[in-house]
Amino acid sequence: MIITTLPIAALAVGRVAFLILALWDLNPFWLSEPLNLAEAAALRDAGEVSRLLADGSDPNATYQIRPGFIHHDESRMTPVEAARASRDDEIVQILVDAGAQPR
Amino acid sequence: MVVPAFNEETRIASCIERLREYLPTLVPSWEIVVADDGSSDRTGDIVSTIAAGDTRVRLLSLPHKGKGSAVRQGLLEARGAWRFIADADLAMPPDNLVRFFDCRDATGAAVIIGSREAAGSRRVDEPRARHFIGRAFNRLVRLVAVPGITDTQCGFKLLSARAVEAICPQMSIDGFAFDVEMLSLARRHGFDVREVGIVWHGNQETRVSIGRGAAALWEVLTIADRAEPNLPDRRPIERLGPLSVRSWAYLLAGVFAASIAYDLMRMPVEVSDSLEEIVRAQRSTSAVASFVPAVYTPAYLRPFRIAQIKMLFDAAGGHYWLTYRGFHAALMCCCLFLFARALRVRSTRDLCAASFALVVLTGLHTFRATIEEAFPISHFLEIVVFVLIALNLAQARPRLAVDILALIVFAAATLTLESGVLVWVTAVACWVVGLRGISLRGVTLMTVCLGIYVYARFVSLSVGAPAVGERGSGFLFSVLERSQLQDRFGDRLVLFYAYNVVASVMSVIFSEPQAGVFVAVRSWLDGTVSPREAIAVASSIVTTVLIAIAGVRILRHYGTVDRSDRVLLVFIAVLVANSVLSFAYVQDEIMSVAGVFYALAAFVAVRQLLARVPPTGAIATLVAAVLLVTGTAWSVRSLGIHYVARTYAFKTRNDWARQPGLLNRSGRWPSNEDSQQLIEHLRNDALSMRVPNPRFEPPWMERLWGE
Repeated sequence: MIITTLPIAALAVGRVAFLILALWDLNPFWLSEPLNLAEAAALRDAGEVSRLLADGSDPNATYQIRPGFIHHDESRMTPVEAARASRDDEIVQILVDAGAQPR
Repeated sequence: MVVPAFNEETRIASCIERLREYLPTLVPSWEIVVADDGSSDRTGDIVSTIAAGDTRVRLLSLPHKGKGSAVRQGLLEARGAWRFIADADLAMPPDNLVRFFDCRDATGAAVIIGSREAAGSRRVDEPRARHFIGRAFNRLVRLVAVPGITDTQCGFKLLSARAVEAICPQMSIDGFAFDVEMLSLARRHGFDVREVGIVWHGNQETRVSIGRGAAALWEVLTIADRAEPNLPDRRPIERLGPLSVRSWAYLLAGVFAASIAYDLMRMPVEVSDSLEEIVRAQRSTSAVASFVPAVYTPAYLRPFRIAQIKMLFDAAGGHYWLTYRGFHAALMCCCLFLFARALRVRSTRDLCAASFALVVLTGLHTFRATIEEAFPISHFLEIVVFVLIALNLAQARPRLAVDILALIVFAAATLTLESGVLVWVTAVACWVVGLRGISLRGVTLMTVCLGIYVYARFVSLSVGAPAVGERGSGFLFSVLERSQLQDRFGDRLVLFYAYNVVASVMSVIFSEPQAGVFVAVRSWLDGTVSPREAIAVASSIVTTVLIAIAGVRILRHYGTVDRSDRVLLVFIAVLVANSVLSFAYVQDEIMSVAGVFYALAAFVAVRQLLARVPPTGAIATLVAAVLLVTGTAWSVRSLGIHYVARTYAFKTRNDWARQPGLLNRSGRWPSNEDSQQLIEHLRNDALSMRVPNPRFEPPWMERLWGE
């Protein structure tokens, strides 16, 4: 009878593990990968773009963008260029409002 | 032979005559006691005249109180070792009396009642309307008071002297429903009650007025309220390793609650549905000032909802995200605690069923919706908590404090959302199936409050109900916008409402459609069924089949099943009511209460299944395999909550990032400086949170849990 609860017990154990890992910010569902401003723009992550701007990231600098975000290969772009490449006008606007050159 | 009589001058003489003719052929000694219930005609005189010439006939003159009183007094006055009640109309021919004695001799029962439904019975010349009313009344009686007895109201019953002396002094019902009380007391005293089929001749002259019918109905309800009070369960609670099985159930619920609460505390406050509410709360001077105007809002009557937002705003002291999301997490913990408590786990088998029910609860899409929705309070989750409080109260020992608390919960729930009415549905359904912690008094007061609410809403305040086209809604394979709904259903609203109700029911029991859209069927037709859709529909179908099997068994053995198992029937009532409330548009979160009861029904179904399966053998292996696979599927669905929370957090944080611009462009950026500062504050809270970008998640997550 008790064998029928195995998957549920496994789920509970997994959840306990998530909570313990969360103490070190390692909960697998909430693992964050650091992004630079252009990468955040390329991934249409408006929240991260705003946070990085608030933390002092330069909206006019050129950043390295990892392969697969926009192009297959690694590339270098400004945040505005990355946002335009991802066709996200609102992020462009956020960057411009923060002092980025539109072009 | 006890014959209750009230104004029976036309037939009492022939009644006595027929009995005097037949009784000597049946028993060596007998007497006839006519209990005259204060007749205003010549009934008493006729009986006195007969009694003067035959000492075996006696008249018991009583003040008019009702048939119940006359029968009670007559039974106590009679002297025989066996006492028979017979209506003066002798609708049952006296030669049927032998059947009672045969039954007594064969079974040794102390209470044998004539039945127009039992084997061997036959009805002659009974008016159809009377038959229908009688059967409906008996259905109610069987449901709430004396399960298993097919005909309580037949006026012919045989009782032993011992049964009479135990039962009659405790009878208090003078009216039509005294039979029900008599049988209820007989059961409570442990007397064996048997039914015997009789031939019964319908009496065209007998009339039951609506007033008397209503009084009888009320009497039945009061009998039921007294008959089966919730008593403390003294059965021992099993231990499993270092803890009791109940502690394990709470621990499991606690782990689930903590992990979901962690997700909630990583989610920013909602924007689109919350921002204006929070700004409004800031502008309001007090919770009362928020409550009063909300009473007069068109289409909705949800003043307590608005007042709560204000109360939390004031309590936040500037920590708005912490307060609102903290409240959301607290509600989640309450929900899972109350759910685990309602299961009343006592055995290892209960624990297995409880763990299954917990993954069903947290894996269901209706539950997931309560994670996402928050305005900024998750009101649907609140309603779930209110309903679970009502369920726990229904399982408690009945007392005044329980009734008062139930009323408070009902008022709070109803003034929060329309779904709060489900608290009433839960209380009534629980009472009907025998969970009577909320007493008849509490349920009645709640019903009165519901009447006041309905009157206030639809008559006094003219709030009305949501109209079609007020918002988009799912229909078949897509979501239709307001204009499309109006075009399609403009003059055939009933069809749309019917679709919504049926879709809501199916949504809970099959996980399809979701939000009114048959997504899995659409994918199946396109040949693109995702693992998420397949797992959801398959696990729901298997679980629903298990629930259906258990439901049929409970209905067939209603009188003997454990009362806690009847929660499954409460699920049916809540599911139907919840679906009807969802008539205007289908949303998963609206069905969250029915989803909780679906999980409770799953608990009952699995518990029953485990109880009936032999410990070893092919069937045991098959059942274990089914539960193992289904439990795995539900566990996968339950795990999806974390994915959904994370995805929603990402969306919400992005909404906040875009918000100042959006508000400015739509002309909704407040001119008030305090409001601007508040929005900036909330925005900064949201942006300071670390939310992973979905770009980095493995693709299987999207296939397993994505929309």
